[in-house]
Amino acid sequence: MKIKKMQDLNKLKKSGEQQLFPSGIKITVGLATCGIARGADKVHDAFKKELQKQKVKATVVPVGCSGWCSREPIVNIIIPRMPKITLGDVSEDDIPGIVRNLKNRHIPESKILYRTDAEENIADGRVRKYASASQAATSGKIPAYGTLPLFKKQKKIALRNCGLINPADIQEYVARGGFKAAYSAVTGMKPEKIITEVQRSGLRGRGGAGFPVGKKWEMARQAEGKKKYIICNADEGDPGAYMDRSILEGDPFSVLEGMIIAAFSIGASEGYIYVRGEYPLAVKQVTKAILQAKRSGLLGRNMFGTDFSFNVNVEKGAGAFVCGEETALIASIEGYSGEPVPRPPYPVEKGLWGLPTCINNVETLANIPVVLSRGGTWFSRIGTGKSKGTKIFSLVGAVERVGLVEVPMGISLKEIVYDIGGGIAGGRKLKAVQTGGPSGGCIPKRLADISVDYESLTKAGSIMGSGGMIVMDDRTCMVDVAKYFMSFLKDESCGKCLPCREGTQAVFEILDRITRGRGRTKDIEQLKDVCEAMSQASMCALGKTAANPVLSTLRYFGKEYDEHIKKRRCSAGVCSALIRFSINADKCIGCEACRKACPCEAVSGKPRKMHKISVKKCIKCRACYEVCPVKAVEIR
Amino acid sequence: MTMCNITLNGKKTKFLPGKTILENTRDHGVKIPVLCSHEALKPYGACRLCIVEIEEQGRKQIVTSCNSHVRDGMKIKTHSPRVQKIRKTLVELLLARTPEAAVEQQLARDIGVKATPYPEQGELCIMCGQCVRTCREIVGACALDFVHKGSKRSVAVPFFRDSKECIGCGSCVFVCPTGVVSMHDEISDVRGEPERIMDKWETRLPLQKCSSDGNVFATRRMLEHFARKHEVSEGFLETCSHCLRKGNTK
Ligand SMILES: Cc1cc2nc3c(=O)[nH]c(=O)nc-3n(C[C@H](O)[C@H](O)[C@H](O)COP(=O)(O)O)c2cc1C
Ligand code: SF4
Ligand code: FES
Repeated sequence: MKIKKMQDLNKLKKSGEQQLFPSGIKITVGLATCGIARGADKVHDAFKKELQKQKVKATVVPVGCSGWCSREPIVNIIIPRMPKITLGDVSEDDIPGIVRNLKNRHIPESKILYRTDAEENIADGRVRKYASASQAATSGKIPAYGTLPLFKKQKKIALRNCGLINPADIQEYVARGGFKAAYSAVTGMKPEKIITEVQRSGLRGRGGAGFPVGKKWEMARQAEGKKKYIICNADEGDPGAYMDRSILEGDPFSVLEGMIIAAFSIGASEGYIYVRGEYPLAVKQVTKAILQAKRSGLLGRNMFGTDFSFNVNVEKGAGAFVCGEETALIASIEGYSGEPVPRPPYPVEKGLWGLPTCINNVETLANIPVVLSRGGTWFSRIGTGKSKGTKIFSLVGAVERVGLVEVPMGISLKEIVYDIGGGIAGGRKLKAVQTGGPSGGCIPKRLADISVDYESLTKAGSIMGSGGMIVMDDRTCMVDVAKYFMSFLKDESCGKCLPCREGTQAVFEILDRITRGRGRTKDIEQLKDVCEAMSQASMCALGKTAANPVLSTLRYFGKEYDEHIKKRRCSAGVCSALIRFSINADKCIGCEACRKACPCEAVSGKPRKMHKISVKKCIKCRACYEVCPVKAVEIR
Repeated sequence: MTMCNITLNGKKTKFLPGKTILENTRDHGVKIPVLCSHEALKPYGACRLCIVEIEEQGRKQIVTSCNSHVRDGMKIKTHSPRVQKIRKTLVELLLARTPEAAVEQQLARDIGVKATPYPEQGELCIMCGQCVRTCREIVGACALDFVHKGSKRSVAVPFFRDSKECIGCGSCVFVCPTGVVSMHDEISDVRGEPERIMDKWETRLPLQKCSSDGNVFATRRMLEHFARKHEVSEGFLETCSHCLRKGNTK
């Protein structure tokens, strides 16, 4: 059926709602990449098999990532008139037991993470209940969704549907208020009016630079060309970041709807989704979504019975980080090697095939339908003065709860790490938080109160970037961290312009020298010189921001550099050339664990007698350090 | 054409609006160091040596002069302390890459850099891209391109082997400022015919003998390429320019 009128959309919505709130039992399994990596596909299949075997009637539906990635595989069980129950760390072996209990509408408690009594649909603000308050009360000790520290401070706009709906089913997206904004925009709004609304929202690009979206659309609208393009940037090359992947895998229609609205506003008739080839599942989901949208008339000719036509193509990138840069991305789509070209002219004036092109990030576009359906003013009430709305972060590293979180701008870094992330894993101490991906910076613990917004992060020498957030504990060497990011950047520099190509290489070599104990006092001066040349003279933002990891660690952890250079020491115990392993005589119990673990017979000692490490033979592999039951091995 | 009012290194002057900052400053006798710019090629903006400091409405910015156009009221400083410092670092970095390249050594001398503080890499190519761009923009053969990323970037023909696109015209040899691209002609061991060998591109091409004096004068593929490009009969290009000028055609 082709959607032409509001009634058609409502019909689709009805059938979608029946799927989201079914009359029978429904089981959803988080089948995004993070889930599959932890075996969720097997859990999904096991459910299907076991339900058949035990003759229990229930549907099993794949959904996207719900954010608590460290507890994947995550399973939701929806039993009519009961709160929705979310289970974590589910394994294949648990399935027979779970299914057996399902017959009596019972869910064993051991794997329960939380329950959901009601869900707010952010697209229209309406709340839908799974169970009445009295029914919910019977759930007793199970914590409710909104009360968990992980979720309490989150606000999900871009991730509104991830983990809730079947990403491959357009009806479920429509049931969550999907395509209503696109319908109203295309059938009833003037493009200028839409752009004003987006401007009012204060939404800024989530791909890194934070450019105001409304302004970019206005420029693209005013640009002249016989055809215009909209490109969705899904290249997401930052190591450790997977915000965009999750959206594409868990809610591809939200991005399509954002693109439709963008295309209509700027007058584009064709769109591209440039997604990195290493995201096969994301590619599959968007491709499916495009097909379904076409079949429903939500893409293609004369959409909603108007004269607006729009089509979307999927283009796969080959995994070069620099292809996320917009001019390199365009070159890549055109079939050239992905290298940036000098701007101006900007893509909005002269982009793909020389025609006006508006490039927006996945997360940016996923926000758009909500901006329109709730209004720019509503959106602009979230966040700080200049940074509006929410931002998704992939919270990783030394934090207790690793996962994907969406928080309102202006939240403090501390709240993200301690409240949402549950603090530092293993009871260790926070040292720094790295934000903004490889060209971001490290924010030290003493600035943990910093408000997370574009301006504050930039002022602190880091950037918002696309949303990577790596938490580092006291065992992290900051020189080593800078070296790691520089090693990434030197490999990913396209090599076209001199400052970035030679600069990243030179900085890497200097840092490498320092971590090997061959640093010189004038190295710091040299680092600063090269960093200045890179950031001032590089052609594209890769080189312009490549200095950040070095400059921010120099700024906050200068002492560590000094220590490496002057004292030839690495007090974090990371740089192997600068550390020595020894056994503390007072602690050693002579258990022989270290002697057995050492791969090069550097440890000597008799059972129950004190052991010793030969400095000459030791290759600093840390095996003894990791294995000692009483922490008698010390690093100096 | 209305000229732009410009302040160049503190002096008020007028610039042509259609030209780049580099072209205008050159006309005014101000020398800005360049490596990748060539008057026959489109601006490329890769060496970044041509940076200048511009100020507009109180906003200061560093831009490359070879691909930036002038606007009325611009203040331009070609040798401000900031520019000089960055330029020096850039030259030092490039000197570390190509310590032996004569153009680079000359540039270092001009700018007052004696030695590089960075680890030397002993490369020969300065990555100006002039060969690649000449082959694409002027010749139209598109036989060359860059391969690899970062400091491993280099120029090559597809798959590093005997190229079907290379026509052996020698424009890359002519334009390369370092001399690292070379070619030579020899009699093939195998066929006993005269051939041109593009040393760096691992490509061999048969040479054409002049229909008049019998001397070899160009590769056959180059003649075919230009005959196609300029829509002249192939026979016209079978005679060397020497004989053509004398009117010795067959
Ligand atoms: C080296 C480099 C890598 C980038 N990678 C990405 C990326 O993976 N995804 C993205 O959306 N933007 C990336 N960007 C930013 C884009 O160039 C561009 O600013 C962005 O896609 C615009 O969309 P927005 O305004 O919605 O943020 C990158 C920029 C640079 C310089
Ligand atoms: S800054 Fe780096 S990535 Fe960007 S054009 Fe220059 S060399 Fe290429
Ligand atoms: S001459 Fe301008 S960048 Fe090379």
